[in-house]
Amino acid sequence: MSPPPSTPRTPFRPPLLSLLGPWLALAGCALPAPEAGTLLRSGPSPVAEALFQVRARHTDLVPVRVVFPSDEQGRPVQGAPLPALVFLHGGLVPPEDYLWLAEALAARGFVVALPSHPLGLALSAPDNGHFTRALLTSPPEGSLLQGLVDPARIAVAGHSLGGVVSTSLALDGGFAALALLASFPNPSDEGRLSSLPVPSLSLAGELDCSAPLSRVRDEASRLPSPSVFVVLQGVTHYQFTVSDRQDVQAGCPAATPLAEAHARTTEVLSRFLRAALSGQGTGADDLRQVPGTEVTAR
Amino acid sequence: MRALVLTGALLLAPVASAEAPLLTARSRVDSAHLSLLAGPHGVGLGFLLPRPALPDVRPSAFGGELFVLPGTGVLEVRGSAQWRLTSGEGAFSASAQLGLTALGVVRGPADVGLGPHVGLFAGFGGPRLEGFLGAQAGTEAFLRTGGPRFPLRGLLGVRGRLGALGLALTARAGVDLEPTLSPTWRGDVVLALGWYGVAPTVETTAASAPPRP
Repeated sequence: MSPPPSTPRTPFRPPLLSLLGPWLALAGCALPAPEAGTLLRSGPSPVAEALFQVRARHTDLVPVRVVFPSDEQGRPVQGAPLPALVFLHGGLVPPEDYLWLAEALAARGFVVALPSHPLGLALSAPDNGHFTRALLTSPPEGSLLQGLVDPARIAVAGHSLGGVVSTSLALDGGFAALALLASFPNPSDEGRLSSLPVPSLSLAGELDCSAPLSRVRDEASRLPSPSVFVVLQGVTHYQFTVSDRQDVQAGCPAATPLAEAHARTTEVLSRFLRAALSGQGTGADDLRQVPGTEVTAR
Repeated sequence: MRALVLTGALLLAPVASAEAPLLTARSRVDSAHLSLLAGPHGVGLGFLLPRPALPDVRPSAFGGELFVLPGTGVLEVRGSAQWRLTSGEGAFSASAQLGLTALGVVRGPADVGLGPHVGLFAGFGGPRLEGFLGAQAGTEAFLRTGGPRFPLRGLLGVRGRLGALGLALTARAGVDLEPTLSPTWRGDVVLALGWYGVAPTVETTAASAPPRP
């Protein structure tokens, strides 16, 4: 057998290959679809956290932290689909600063999703909340979120600037309840605010220097029924985050210890969500049982 | 000061991805060169090919870019034609761009986008050092996720050249409009390192062009 005739070989590298190089380098990188999370707390009510990315606006990726009730291995609890909360951070406050709240709510049976926003401002990409809701209702195949959330029981909430955007999201539809923490509706939504179709909670700090109580109270009165306005006595603006250092630095000290403020916030928010997401209004009577609160229901 | 900090944050924010319409703005038709592009969101390659500076030669130049955004898994390919709007003899120059952008989403569900873009730029200076500003707009539609998306940008930049090397810094900010979504604010900065080659190049401004009849 004679060897095949040799043909002169010339180095050839199609330009197309150069263009495809970056594509091939990036292709195959699927979006994260974790089957289990990192354990945040163990004990009688374990809670875990997992990181997702959502494709949004065609070419963006929105990072979303999901905190959920888990077993000791960080896998989601078995059982019926759970109620959920999409929580929007305040202006220039990272979502991680609300992990204390997400963890406390998850220990009470809620799935909490915290999307990030460009520049730390929810107003820069207001639809990230909608994309986060879509993550909960149509999660990546095989991920821990599959079958975890009841699509009909998803609320939206936000602190400060996040609350302003949350109102717009609730008005757009898709959410079953709205909670504002030291916040008020977007002035541009004034015309359609009366058509808000879900129960709402406005939670205010008595000593808030950034969103003054008088302003929050006035704005809360515009929310249509069923709505409840709750004042946490002795609480400041940043006590809704992990630390009230910014209040102290701004000469706006709290009269309630941070741990106590966190405990009351968790109690009020979880009782409201439990009532609103089960079709029982705002749960105002239940909220009156939380110490250190002033409750006005409409 | 607060505005300066906010502007800086807007331009440098690592998650404020900014796509389209075109990274490279030119108020003056430059000499032929290759560019390395780098910004907070990605890196890329670009080129410019000027055409002979004759009155009946339109457009004045062609350019193209490939930009890779590893953080979001997006590739951008752009091509454009440039029209000189001023003679180029003085310190003031102006030009217009018309081109196409193609976008490829390669992380997660694949998607492809395509659309035209336009730009209008004005600059002050010369071929060696120039400051410029401009406006860009585009339309993009995507195969899987639809659209259309309408990016609008304002930009400000400075470009310098020393021998075979050039450097340009462009800052852009603006908004993406889409019928079913809220406006999304964008910002980015891009540094372009240009290589004009070792051979003597001919400035393609009208000042060096043959006399017009």
